[in-house]
Amino acid sequence: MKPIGRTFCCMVLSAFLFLPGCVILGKSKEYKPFETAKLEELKTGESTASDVLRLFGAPSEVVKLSNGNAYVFQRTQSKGTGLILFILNMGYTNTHHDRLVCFFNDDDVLTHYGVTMDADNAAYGLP
Amino acid sequence: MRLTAFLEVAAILALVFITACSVRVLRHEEGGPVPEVPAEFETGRTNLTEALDLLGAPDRVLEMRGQDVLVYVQRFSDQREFTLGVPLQAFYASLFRFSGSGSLDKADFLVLFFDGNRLLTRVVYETNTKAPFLGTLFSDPEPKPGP
Repeated sequence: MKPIGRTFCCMVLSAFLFLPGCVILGKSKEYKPFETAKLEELKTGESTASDVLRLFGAPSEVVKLSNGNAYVFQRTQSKGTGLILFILNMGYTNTHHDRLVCFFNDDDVLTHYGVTMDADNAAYGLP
Repeated sequence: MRLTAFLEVAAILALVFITACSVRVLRHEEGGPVPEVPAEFETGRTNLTEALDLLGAPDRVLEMRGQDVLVYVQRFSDQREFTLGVPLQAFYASLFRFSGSGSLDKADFLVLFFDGNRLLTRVVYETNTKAPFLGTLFSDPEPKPGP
């Protein structure tokens, strides 16, 4: 094979190997972090459902419990990574949540609450 | 010389044919790691406040037969697909094509049950994260014990 033919072959091989590749990064946010100052305003035995709604807005979910209700406030962050190579395609999505759950008794007074701050742990990556 | 030329042409043909093949791996993870049952948890004594202080907010809250249930969960989804075909497939779809795919959803759970006095009555902890992809897909389910 002439040198020009060899060069052509190398170009074709390189094109097959490298041109089809691409990387995709994506991010989805349904996310506004809970403010620490507002969390500190929550007082069990004192705060009412109205106080909690005033502080955090509409809950993501309301659950009827055996003796009262629970309001669930959730913020979500997702990150996605895609890698498209010659014949290998990979995709990875990672979703984490910040969550505040407030428990109220039948008089709508806050009895317990729990907080998990995890949304910042959403990460890009590969499978 | 002829052998070299033959190998070069064969390499190009092989690459052209390989373009009709693909391997796809997709993975989705949702939620943080599920904590193991804390050693200090004791049914009948641990209350809701202690549970929330130690574990944070649950992923789900529900009421079941007069009991309040907190669910902590981390979910994983794995999808893998392998396709083997010929390059003209894009223009003539009925050509030979072999394709295999599998999808496996896994989750780790910690479920806490509380009675009307918000005292812990039952704990369920289950972890499936380490289940192998192919080993799980191709294994027969274990028979469940009878009633």
